[in-house]
Amino acid sequence: MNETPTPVSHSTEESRKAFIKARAGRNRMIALGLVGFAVLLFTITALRLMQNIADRVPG
Amino acid sequence: MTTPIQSSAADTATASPAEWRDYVALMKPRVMTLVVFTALAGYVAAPAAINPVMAAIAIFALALGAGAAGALNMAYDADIDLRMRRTRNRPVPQGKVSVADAYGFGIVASGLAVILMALSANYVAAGLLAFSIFFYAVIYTMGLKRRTPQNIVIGGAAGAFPPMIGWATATGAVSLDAVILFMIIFLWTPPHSWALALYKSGDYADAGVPMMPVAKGPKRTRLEILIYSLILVPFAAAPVFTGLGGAVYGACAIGGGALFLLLAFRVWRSKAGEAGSAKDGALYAVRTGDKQARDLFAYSIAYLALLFAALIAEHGLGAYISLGFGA
Repeated sequence: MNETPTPVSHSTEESRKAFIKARAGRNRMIALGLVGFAVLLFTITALRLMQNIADRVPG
Repeated sequence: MTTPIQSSAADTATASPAEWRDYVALMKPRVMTLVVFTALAGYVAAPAAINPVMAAIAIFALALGAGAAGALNMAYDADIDLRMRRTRNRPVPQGKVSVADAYGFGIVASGLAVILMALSANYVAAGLLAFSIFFYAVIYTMGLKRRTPQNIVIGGAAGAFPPMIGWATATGAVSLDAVILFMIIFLWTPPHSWALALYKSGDYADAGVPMMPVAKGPKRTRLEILIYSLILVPFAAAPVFTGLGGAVYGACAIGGGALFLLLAFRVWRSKAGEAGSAKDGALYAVRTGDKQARDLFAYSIAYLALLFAALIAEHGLGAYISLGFGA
């Protein structure tokens, strides 16, 4: 991954703003992806729990 | 590990910063659509089912895995993508996403996809998904693509896994019917890919990729397209004899297959590929002599979609009418 970003020429105010806007968009999508992944894991866990409880043999 | 081409791609990298849409493009969304569709057919046709929410998550995991494989493919092929008109607008050759970022994205997405598949479905489906990603990214992209004209024959296996994974998602196992669905896509890939390569051979030659028309010439390619089509079309009827396919599937396999053979025969009789490659970058733009190859390429996609749509209609929408075969 790009720990040290490629030296980008932000000579103009427009290009600097475009870079910041693109980075903010990427960060939002990463956050959304992580939250989505957590929600999926929670859903899977809940469904498996429900299934296992339903399959439990009494006594 | 940086190649000169990767450097040249990186040189253009700062033209515009990467947006999230570039990462979506990195996952080859059109390929993902076909993967999801065929996997769904495999899942629906299987004689078992899991919780529908779990199934949806498993199909999502499969799509994510296919996208991850696409990202790894684009990362490795950045140099040749830059030389081909058809692929030079992809995010990595355009410099919007760096090669390192594409690899990182592909590896992380692969891991998440396999974990999700294992948790939502079972380890068989997860293992098949992991192997299919490995097969596409390493065996095909890194091993076969630049070395042999048989690249897409062997590499086609990677694209044939989704219905088998869909089947394994539902049943936790791989049966004869799942292997038949795998084989249909496996046999379909060569005539489909070579039809495109016939009228885009200049692109592949420029990039040094030994596709069949480049390595063996258009005449041999047209013959091999016909031979593979003659194997594919009868084989596509196999699900009818195991009972997996009913009357709707049988009609699609016979009618659709007849048209496939007709178009393959026309390609064989044509001079497609003789005039070199079309210079236009559009996927369907061809020279007059290559029209037959373009027709077969376009129809082959519809043909595969038709077969798997028939399975979905029969097993998912209750359109199955038994023809008396199978159990």
